[in-house]
Amino acid sequence: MFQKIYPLLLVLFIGVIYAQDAPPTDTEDQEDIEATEDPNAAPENQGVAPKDQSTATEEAMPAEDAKEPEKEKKSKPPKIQKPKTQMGTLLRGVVVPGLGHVYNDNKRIGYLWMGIEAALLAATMNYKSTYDESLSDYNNYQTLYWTETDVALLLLYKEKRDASRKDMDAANTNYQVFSGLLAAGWLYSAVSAYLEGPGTPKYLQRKRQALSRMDMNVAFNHEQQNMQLKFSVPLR
Amino acid sequence: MNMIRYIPIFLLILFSCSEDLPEDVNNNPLDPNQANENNFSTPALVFYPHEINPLPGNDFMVEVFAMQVDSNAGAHMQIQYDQEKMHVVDFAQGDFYSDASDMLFYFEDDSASGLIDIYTGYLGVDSSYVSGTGQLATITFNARVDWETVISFTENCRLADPHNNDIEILGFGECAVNAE
Repeated sequence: MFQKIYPLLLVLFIGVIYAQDAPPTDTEDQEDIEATEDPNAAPENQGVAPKDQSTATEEAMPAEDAKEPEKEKKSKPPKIQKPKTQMGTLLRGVVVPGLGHVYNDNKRIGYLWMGIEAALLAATMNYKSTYDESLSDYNNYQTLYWTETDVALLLLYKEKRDASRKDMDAANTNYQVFSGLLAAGWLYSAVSAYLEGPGTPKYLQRKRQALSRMDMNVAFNHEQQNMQLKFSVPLR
Repeated sequence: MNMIRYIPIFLLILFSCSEDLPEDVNNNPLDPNQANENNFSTPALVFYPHEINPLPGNDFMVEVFAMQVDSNAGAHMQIQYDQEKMHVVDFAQGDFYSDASDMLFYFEDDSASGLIDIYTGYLGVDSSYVSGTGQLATITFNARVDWETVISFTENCRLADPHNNDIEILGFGECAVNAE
């Protein structure tokens, strides 16, 4: 069984290697970074006027100048948001099924995949457990069959052993099917997330659709005693 | 590019897990359903177990069974063994005729030729008999050195009904002994 995990680990390893070397592809997010990294960009407290002149004067005093570097050291640098990449999507999809879709901002599909894979994993573990129990029963009855000298009892043990074997065969078949579905679903979700990842036409189309979605609200105004409709359309 | 979508389907077989199923081993010599597969017919005389691996210098027990006999009142078993590789330590009567008021159990070990004669059965003039499969005797041997040998029945074995008529014995089992 464990030998079959090695190809999956190999895929994971290759995914990690590629993810580290992958160049950014998403042009939209690149703009955000440029804006954040711009040295001329306005600081966070821009627009907040000093309380009064005396405060401004005090800040200019040499005693305060000594404290400023400490403040600068303590203040964290602005967090740089890395651009989303297709390889990042693939890597997340390989590590956790559905996480690649969530990373692509396709959360509904991502959570759906997580649910499906969790159900398949539960079913696989259940059938593995059933198989182990049946195997234990089979071995017990096999030992009893070998050691019994009473003909009636040894035939009874043989019958029970054969019944355990049937259960074991059925559980093994189900275990094989569900583990295959689990693995196939896992890989399918990872690959489909990769193909719909940042930079791809589908990803851009979905982003455009999300941006152009009209926001519409209906509410009852108690003061004017009438229904009101409010909607906004993004111009970008 | 879209062909990549179908790769997981091909990987389904690769990643699907399955366990190796054990093979059924029907090697109990007393299993009547396996008698034909074990190359003997019944009624038969068999050893239990049919394979044994004692340590050199240690004692080991072999049970003698009458298998699938009908109306049996007495038995004579002659058992051959390699006297250079093992020797007899003890005999014990089986429980096949245990409900008899008077029971015969007599044994003789010719250690020079490696032959054991065991006589057992009902005593008296009544028509007591038993049918089915049952233990006739238990023999304890001692393994002398490292070796492989076989304990077997000779052609002089006999099963009798209450009227002292022969019951045909169709199968003779063997016990493979591998001292190591």
